[in-house]
Amino acid sequence: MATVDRLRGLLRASPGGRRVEKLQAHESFFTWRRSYYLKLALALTVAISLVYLVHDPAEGPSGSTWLGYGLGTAGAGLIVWLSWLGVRKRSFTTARGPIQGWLSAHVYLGLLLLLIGTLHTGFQLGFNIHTLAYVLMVLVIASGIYGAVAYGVLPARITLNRKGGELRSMLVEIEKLNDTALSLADRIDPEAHAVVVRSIAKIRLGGSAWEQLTGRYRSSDDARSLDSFFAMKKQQFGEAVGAARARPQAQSKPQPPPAAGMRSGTTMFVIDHIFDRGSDKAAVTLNKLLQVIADRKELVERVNVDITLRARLSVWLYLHVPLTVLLLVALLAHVLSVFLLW
Amino acid sequence: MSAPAAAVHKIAIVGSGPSGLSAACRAAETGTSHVLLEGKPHLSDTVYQFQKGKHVMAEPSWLPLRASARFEAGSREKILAAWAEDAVQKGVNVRYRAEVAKIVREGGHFQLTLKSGDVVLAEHVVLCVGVQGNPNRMKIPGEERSEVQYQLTDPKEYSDEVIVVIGVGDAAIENALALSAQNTVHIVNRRNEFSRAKEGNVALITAAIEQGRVQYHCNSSPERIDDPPAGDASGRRMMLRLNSADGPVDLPCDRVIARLGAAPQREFVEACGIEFPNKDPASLPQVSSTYESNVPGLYILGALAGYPLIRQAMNQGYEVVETICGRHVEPADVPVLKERFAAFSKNPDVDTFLDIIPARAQILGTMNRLQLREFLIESKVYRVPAGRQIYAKGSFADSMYIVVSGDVQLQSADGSKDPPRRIKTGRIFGEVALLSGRPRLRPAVAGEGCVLVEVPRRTMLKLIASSPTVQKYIDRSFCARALERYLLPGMDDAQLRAVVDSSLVRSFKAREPIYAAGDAADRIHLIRSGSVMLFNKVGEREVILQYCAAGEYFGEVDVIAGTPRGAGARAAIKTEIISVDASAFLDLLNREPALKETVRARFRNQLQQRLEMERSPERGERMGFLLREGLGEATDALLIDEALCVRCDQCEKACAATHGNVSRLNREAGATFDNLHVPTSCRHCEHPHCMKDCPPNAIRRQPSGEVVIESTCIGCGNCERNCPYGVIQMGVETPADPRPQRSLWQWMMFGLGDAPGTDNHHYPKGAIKKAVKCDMCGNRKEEGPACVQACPTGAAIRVSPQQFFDVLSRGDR
Ligand SMILES: Cc1cc2nc3c(=O)[nH]c(=O)nc-3n(C[C@H](O)[C@H](O)[C@H](O)COP(=O)(O)OP(=O)(O)OC[C@H]3O[C@@H](n4cnc5c(N)ncnc54)[C@H](O)[C@@H]3O)c2cc1C
Ligand code: HEM
Ligand code: SF4
Ligand code: SF4
Repeated sequence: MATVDRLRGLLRASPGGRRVEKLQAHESFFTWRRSYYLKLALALTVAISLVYLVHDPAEGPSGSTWLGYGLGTAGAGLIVWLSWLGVRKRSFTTARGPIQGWLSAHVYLGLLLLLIGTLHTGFQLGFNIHTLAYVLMVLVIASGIYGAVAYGVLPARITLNRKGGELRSMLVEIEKLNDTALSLADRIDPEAHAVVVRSIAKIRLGGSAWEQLTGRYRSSDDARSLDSFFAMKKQQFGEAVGAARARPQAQSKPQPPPAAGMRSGTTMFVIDHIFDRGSDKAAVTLNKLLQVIADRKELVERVNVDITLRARLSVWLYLHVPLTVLLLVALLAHVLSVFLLW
Repeated sequence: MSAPAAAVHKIAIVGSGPSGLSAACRAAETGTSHVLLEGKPHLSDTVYQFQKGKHVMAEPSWLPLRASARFEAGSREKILAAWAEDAVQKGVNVRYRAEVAKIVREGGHFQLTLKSGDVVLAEHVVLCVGVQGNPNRMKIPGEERSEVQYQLTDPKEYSDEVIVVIGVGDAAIENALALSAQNTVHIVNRRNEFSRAKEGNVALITAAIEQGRVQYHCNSSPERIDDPPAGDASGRRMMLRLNSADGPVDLPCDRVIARLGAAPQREFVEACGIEFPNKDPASLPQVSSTYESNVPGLYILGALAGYPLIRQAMNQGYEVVETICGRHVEPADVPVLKERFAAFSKNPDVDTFLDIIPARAQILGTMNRLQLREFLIESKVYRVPAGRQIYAKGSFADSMYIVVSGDVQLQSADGSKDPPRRIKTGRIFGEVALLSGRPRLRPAVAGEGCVLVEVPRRTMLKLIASSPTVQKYIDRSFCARALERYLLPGMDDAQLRAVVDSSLVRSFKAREPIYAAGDAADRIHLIRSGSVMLFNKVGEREVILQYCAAGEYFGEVDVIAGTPRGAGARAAIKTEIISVDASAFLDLLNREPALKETVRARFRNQLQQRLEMERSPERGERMGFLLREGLGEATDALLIDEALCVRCDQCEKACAATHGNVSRLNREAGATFDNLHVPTSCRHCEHPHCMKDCPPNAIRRQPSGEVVIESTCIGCGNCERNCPYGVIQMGVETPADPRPQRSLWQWMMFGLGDAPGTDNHHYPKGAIKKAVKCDMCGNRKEEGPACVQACPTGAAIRVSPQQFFDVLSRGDR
């Protein structure tokens, strides 16, 4: 978060007390309007706690004292209002006031709700619809807390991992490296071509939800097999080149017998290659191919990190929102049961 | 159809674009002996080259069409068909494939020599060759074959051919890449490097060559094209011989596409004896009020005469024939001019006023009748009640003013000591803001009996470009105002005049050095337009010390200190500078103690700032990044703090939802540095590049600064090409989504319809595409831009870069 603070500091004020108006708007939702909602929530926390401590009802604290009713009403109202964010953030055309302010209020008043809800129960929890509503509320808030932390921490890491580029350009680059690898492999031999085609088919961007979230991707054993394949290729080249060097007039003479471990088709190919283009060119092509494959590996890894970070940045909303819907239903049941069945 | 060479036509019309065709139709209709010479095998090549199915618009709508050929807005095909029909029906005498190579006046008539060597004689020549220019040819044997072409309208037309593309400019590379999808493509480069093309294109073609999708022939040039030799096994239509560094290479192929650039018409036009006002490649020849050039009997119409729209061009074709035939013709614009003069009288006599107006203001006297008409039609003429404000301080300029009656007060800006200034009849005002691209500095208020001509930006620039006298007049006026305002407040005219006389206006290209560290410090520079950075060299790297925007001055620190330049100065973007002799300035300082104090305060401030910047070079780097991204010329840019951006794309959705479901913002595209991201979105440049070449002049600057595209846009795509930041797209103007609109609740509860803010492209077939870009949500003044509004985390901010740089360089924390 250091960068955020630095930027924020940079952008905030100018000397002589003259404020740079437009730039002043640049505050994160955590500190919006000089942390107005944080201060509000803290003040309310203190006030509500004091009232709760002072207030001493006969049957002990519960939802049915005057304070219990007050907190209950406030809490229910707050829950409905907090859920309204989902509507508000999509009303682009009628919107008034920045969403940022709404989110700032959402976060701090949402946290305050934990206190309000808890005190409302008077710590009388059981196995009933009332406690279900409470538990759902706590879960929504917990997921919200995760979300707020993620919003604070992860964006800068995404940027860092992208090294100033865009995701789209990283994907395009992978495509390009694939094409280049293929055409280089084409110049080596059909076997190399086949191996590269296979390795392209095996590239995995992203993976199961679990892999995405943990950031531990099942490595296809491809990397190892590619490595060993290229090690073998290099050796073959080395041997063939050695043979060519040893016999400068080899062209007119019969070919040397294949070295141990060399498949004869490839040998012929390599030797023809050296004949046509010289040993240097062949080695250069192979080295180029190796470099391209290495670059691609690094990129694929970075794309996967990107996917992980973005998954972690959004996964919680898949809990936060459905749980909110459940909470609203449970809340309704809770309120109805209190008033109708009491 | 070709006329015998000996016959002398009354009129020879060169070029069959809208202007030439209209002239020919009128001549045919009136039975005037004429010939229409067209270089291509079809009429109106410029329109012919439009994309298939393009909707051609009929701007300007206020101008009535008066021509003998039909024209109304419609598809390219419909318009071309109507013209072809009209030409036949009126009996136009047209010669195709008759490119005119030379025009000379000899013995009372003109002699037009065609490319083929034929000669055509005529008493009058009407030159309607447009400004598209002619593609450069290969000039080799065999190039006349029909499979040799210089243009490519639709790459999808060809498949399974062997195609050779000659040249490595942008057009050649783009063609080669597009064709390579369905064909075997070779590209031929005379040299070894790709130096003339855009970086992105070079990267693409290099990759394609590396991957074998395009065959590359470097150090080669075409030598000849022949039929394939008998028994050739390739089965291709022809054989191209290349002359390469390793000797000749024979390339069997089906098609050759040569993209060797276009020769501008200027050379040909100048060879006809026609003069251009200056060397600027954008300048056009001057014509009289009857479209006659400086060569008597030779007329120029259409785009080449500076009239870039079809309707204007066609009216001129009609008028010129009437003029040549000695029939008086009242220009089609009379009703419009009458309206312009309504500020003076109920039923004004246009001719009388055209005499009076230029006598009122020196700057208008430099124009001929035709220019003046055009000028007044494009301008507004109106009366302003005494005491009414004409513009406010801080508003942006899209025009300047000429006082043709009464006077105007430039009031002192709040808090400044400069006395108010009276602008008398005949003088201009408001040009400082227009030329610098910065907001107005002081409010202007009308005096008694004030009548103004408000001149829009483009009209002004056109006038400046066409007349050195006007240029000088404006320069001097600007210089005096700017010096008085920024450098020498409160000077009287006489004192100012001495300094203005010693001043020099110079222009610099982007990144061009203005001076280097160690140079003698003998001048002070005032930035008239653009912006400048001062930097120090640390090893190979340049560390930016300071950024100066238009209207500021720089270089006085060394002058006062009496040392050589302590830092280098470089134009951040295209920049114009007024430099003032240092001694004149120092003289003044000694005489004016008050001035000395202000300058001293600035001096201290600047040195302090430089020390700060040297101490924390990372601020300079951030500034350098923003300058490289073009923020140096922005007036209002969208930036995203990536440390806060959660990539939710709310900003894009908000933009789409408020702009007919087409987002004008691409959040992710664009450069990032140190968590500061510059997304692809309009920066509302000080001098918008997009305005440069807009035929209907549809791009305007609002007083609040935004650059907006009005509905008169004809969809020509020039602005899309001219914007260096790639922020303009061609999109459907109205939210013409045929599907039923669903409400937010229907979507939320039942999943009906699209999520709010979905970019959708279900355009009805044949929808008219126009240029669209960020308009700063001009119609929601209260709430501000939707993107910033909708961002939940506060990552998206709109800034005026000037403030941003100020903050960066002051280093406040
Ligand atoms: C992409 C695009 C879209 C546009 N859209 C619109 C629109 O929607 N509405 C609108 O009003 N305007 C539009 N314009 C502008 C309009 O096309 C031009 O202003 C208009 O065509 C100019 O007419 P012209 O008669 O001056 O010359 P041109 O139309 O350029 O015609 C010149 C003709 O002269 C011929 N020629 C050139 N040299 C010679 C020679 N030496 N010998 C013989 N013949 C020669 C050429 O082959 C050509 O046929 C658009 C322009 C472009 C580029
Ligand atoms: C019971 C209490 C809460 C309810 C009912 C609630 C409900 C919601 C709803 C409906 C949304 C909109 C999601 C969407 O439509 O995309 C939302 C978003 C969000 N909530 Fe909560 N929330 C609660 C508590 C909290 C708390 C305590 C926090 C943080 C500490 C929090 C943090 C957030 C954040 C960061 C967002 C994302 C905003 C965005 O990306 O647009 N919420 N919440
Ligand atoms: S469209 Fe492009 S050139 Fe025009 S103002 Fe915007 S950024 Fe500048
Ligand atoms: S709305 Fe804000 S947080 Fe969301 S993508 Fe745009 S800039 Fe980033």
